[in-house]
Amino acid sequence: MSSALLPKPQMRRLLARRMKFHLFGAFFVSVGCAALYKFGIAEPRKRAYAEFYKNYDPMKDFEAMRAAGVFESAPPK
Amino acid sequence: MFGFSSKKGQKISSLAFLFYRQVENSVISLLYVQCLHLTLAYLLLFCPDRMLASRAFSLVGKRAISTSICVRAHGHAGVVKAEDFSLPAYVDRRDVPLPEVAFVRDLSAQQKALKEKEKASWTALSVDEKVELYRIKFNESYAEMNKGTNEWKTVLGGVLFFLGLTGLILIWQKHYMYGPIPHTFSDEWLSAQTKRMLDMRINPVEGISAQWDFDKNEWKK
Repeated sequence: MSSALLPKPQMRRLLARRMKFHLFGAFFVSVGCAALYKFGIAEPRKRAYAEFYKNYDPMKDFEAMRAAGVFESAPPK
Repeated sequence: MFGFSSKKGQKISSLAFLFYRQVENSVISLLYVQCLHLTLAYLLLFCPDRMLASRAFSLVGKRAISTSICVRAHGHAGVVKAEDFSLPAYVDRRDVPLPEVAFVRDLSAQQKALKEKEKASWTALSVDEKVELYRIKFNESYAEMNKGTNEWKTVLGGVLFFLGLTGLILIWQKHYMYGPIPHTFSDEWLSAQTKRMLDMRINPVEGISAQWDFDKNEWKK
């Protein structure tokens, strides 16, 4: 052992320090996850649906499906 | 307390006196007689049935049975040796800073001398002696206790090895054991199936029909 003393380690408020660190961490991690989901998945999905239904004509779609022959009760013309 | 005031107690005490009177040998010590008295009193208190049995046998072989009863009641010669695992033990744990016993149980002569020196002023101890005293009391320091190992490499290696072995077994199974897959997995069937899905406009917003360009009849770029 060296003759010089080691610096005195942190003795008090260890749990408080750990709790503060983990509280902040937990808050930011959870908010980050929520934000990532919202802007990575939820918003694009909403936009995709809006785009799809902006100029959607169901009758035209139906006629295209009928022509392909997928309906039993509505045969192609 | 011993019940000698009661009628039964008086009978017992008089019987013990009779035993003593019957013994001619002068080697019999007062302690033996006291042991007998106390034994009979204890037995009267705790085991009445044994009392009757001992009273019955007393006239025949009182010395032998009395000795065994005496030993049983006092337990001088019949103590069971305490097993190591039932005694307080030393343990290296982060949450137990001061274990119940010191690490070194049997000190050498040198260590005993050091322990004697420890009883005097501690400023007289050298650094090496202090370290030696620490090592007598503790096995590992906190730094040594908390030190990580390379065990994770072994674990990871073992896991990957067995995963690979399982993969080899699965390949062997597929080649030698399983029969053919269903005909619905053939290329013709799959392309016909995909065409039908597109005709039905399956998942038109985000899924397969959204990837197909219906005007040009090809997949979207």
